[in-house]
Amino acid sequence: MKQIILVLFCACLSPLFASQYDQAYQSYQDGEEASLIVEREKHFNEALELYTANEQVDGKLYYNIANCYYQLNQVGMAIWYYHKAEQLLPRDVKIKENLLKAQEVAKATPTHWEVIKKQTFFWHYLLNPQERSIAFIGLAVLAFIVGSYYFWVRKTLLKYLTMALVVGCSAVGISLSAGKQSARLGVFVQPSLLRCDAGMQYVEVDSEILTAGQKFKVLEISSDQQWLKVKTQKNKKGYVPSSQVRLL
Amino acid sequence: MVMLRRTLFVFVLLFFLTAFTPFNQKKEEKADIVLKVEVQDELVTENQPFLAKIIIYHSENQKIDERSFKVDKQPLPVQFLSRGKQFSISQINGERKEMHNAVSCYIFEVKGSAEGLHTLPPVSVKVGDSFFETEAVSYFVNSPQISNSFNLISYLDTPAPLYPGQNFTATYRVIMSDDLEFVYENLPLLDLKNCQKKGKQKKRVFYQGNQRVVEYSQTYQTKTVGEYQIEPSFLEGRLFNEDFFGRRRYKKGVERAVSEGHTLQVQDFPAEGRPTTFNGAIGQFSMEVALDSSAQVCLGDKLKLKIKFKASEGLDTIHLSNLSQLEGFKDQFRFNDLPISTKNAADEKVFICELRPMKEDIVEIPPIEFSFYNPKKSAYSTISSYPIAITLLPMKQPFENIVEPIAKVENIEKVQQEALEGPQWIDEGKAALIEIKGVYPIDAKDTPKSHVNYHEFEIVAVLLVLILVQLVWKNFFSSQSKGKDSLFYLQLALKNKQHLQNYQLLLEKALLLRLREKKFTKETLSIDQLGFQGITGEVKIYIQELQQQLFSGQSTFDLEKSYSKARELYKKIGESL
Repeated sequence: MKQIILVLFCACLSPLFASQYDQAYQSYQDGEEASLIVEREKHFNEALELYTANEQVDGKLYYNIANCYYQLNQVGMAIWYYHKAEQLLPRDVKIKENLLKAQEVAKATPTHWEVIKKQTFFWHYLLNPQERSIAFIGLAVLAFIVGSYYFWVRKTLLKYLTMALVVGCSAVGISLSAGKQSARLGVFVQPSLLRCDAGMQYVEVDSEILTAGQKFKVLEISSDQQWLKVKTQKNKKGYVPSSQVRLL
Repeated sequence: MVMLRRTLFVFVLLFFLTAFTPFNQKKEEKADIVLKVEVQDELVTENQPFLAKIIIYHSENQKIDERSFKVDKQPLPVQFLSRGKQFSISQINGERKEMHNAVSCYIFEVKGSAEGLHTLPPVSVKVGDSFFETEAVSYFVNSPQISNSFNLISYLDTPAPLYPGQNFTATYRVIMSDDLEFVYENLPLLDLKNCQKKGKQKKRVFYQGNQRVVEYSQTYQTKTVGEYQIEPSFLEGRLFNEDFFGRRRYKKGVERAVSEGHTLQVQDFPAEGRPTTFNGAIGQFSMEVALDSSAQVCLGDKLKLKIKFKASEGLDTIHLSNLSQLEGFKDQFRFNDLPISTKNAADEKVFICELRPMKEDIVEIPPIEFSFYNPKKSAYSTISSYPIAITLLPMKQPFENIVEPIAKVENIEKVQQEALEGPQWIDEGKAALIEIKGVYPIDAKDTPKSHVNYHEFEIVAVLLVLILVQLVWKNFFSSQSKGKDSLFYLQLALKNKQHLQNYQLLLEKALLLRLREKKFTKETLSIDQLGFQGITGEVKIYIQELQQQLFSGQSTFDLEKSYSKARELYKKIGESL
């Protein structure tokens, strides 16, 4: 019931949002056409303000916000929003291209292992969480029907078909579970240094600067939520201030 | 001879007229100048300096040389008080004379002296071109008595212990029954040395019963460590009432009220636990450090760092340390030589300093530490800011055709033209080319999207349960149908005695099924796959013998005996669990 009321409420507000998105779209276009830095920054900032003021869970909106941040040289924030957009629109080519470009600018290109992982578990990166859920349910129901039929009829073809469906369903199920864990991933939005403990008084883990845009895994959050214990892509563990990161 | 005498008389007369007339005029002018000294001896008290007044009556065109005042041939410093005009008309022997005179007043201080009669020596001054002198004046110095009519109370409102930079208030209270005219006051608490005044002196009047209380207070901030003795304070005055016309009617002579002296002790901050970054800030502060300019700069470009302190008091004790000497800043950043600008508000103090990154590997502005002494906790505290990430952009370069020597450039004319137009540096105001293009237009159908929970794992759990149900169901029904099957085939075989081949096949099936039902064999096994051991071996031998008898066409085949043997085996399989 609450969900229905929320949907109706949002539906009532959607024309208002749409007009502000149109303004934001126009501001962004003006920003692209501006020839002076000052004008360009002004228009992109306007667009960004309008988009973020009406921020919702929407892949296109995230992509637009990321573009605004990119144009305003806030590459760390841009990468974070590209990742969020990619999660919702995983097959969008523009998002992939811009994310890669932003990562190149921030010198935070994906590691070799990450590329292999993406190619191996391609289905995980092809579907968004909603699609994964639907696919999982569909495959499970299909496997159930075919399996049940085989259970009574005992045809070899049905047997192999059931096995294939179960394997597919399991793969999507694992992907779905992995996706549910992605709340524990994050992105550096500012260049950061890993520290040995939660506080500026503690020594750095090493002198390597973690550039904005790099992903990490959250291991622990301090009680005051000011520091996060993280594991970087190079498997280094340490603490970073929460102001320098955003969670996906 | 007579002519000669007359001529001589005329000359002598003219000589006197010309020679003595100015002198006479001067003498007349001199006679118009009057000097006198006034002392209000009823206000002169023992050992207290007092002010005497010099009144000079002179013509308007005569100037008074203020530097020429002397007493006992010693220069007398005076202070101009006022100047007025007097106009008078006199008629003597029918001659009308108008006089325009001026009255100038000066005051000077006379040192205090003991009780008794004293004489003020004559005071001389140059008026116009001549010196004039007052007459000596006598005055009586009174010894004021301690008043019973008014009282003076003084006190210091200081925190304990008192540290440099802390505020305290010094207060006097004059408690009186009637109006009091102050004659002399020595109130050192209102002008303390070694302390800095904070704000203006405050005056408050209130009543305690029938008595009127006038309170004077001054807030100070301590500056240096030490013990300061403050002498006793006293106040001399006369009580008065005002009549209907506002004139003062004094009740008594000058009286005195005295209050005790004080000791102000300013302690040094505790040495124990004093942080190295402590530089005298006292209070309870919070600090925010933020960039007040873009975080993306080229090497050597200016960054503006805004350091904001917030506190309810003690903000003026904050002095920003020399950042260029701090760890992390030294040799990394160059600071502006100009003083750091500050902005003060009621509860915050903001420092804005300019710094420039000097090394290419700089990625952040290091944290800034600030220490202060918290008097409430009687302990030092150190707070630190977070590092602020900055991005160093590549250095701006001039166009190549300008930096290259002209001799290397083929198009000399073009270069000369460009040189005439001046150096063409990259215009900072002009935006670079767009690297990524376009955003998605978003309309109403894109938003809103409510989050839908598909409960996928719950659905799968339900499906698994359904599979389990099917399994149980199938096992239950198949066990029932299979129990009937072996017996069914056994009975069916009896009914098919006439068709020996069917009879043999049905018996075979009945026994094999019976074996599978009782878990002696798997379903997939045939007669050939049965072993020769135990009951399965007996079944196998029986079936093989039956097959041999049937296929050999033996006429001695006993159908009844064969069937009873089959029933025995069937029963034996059931009993052999």
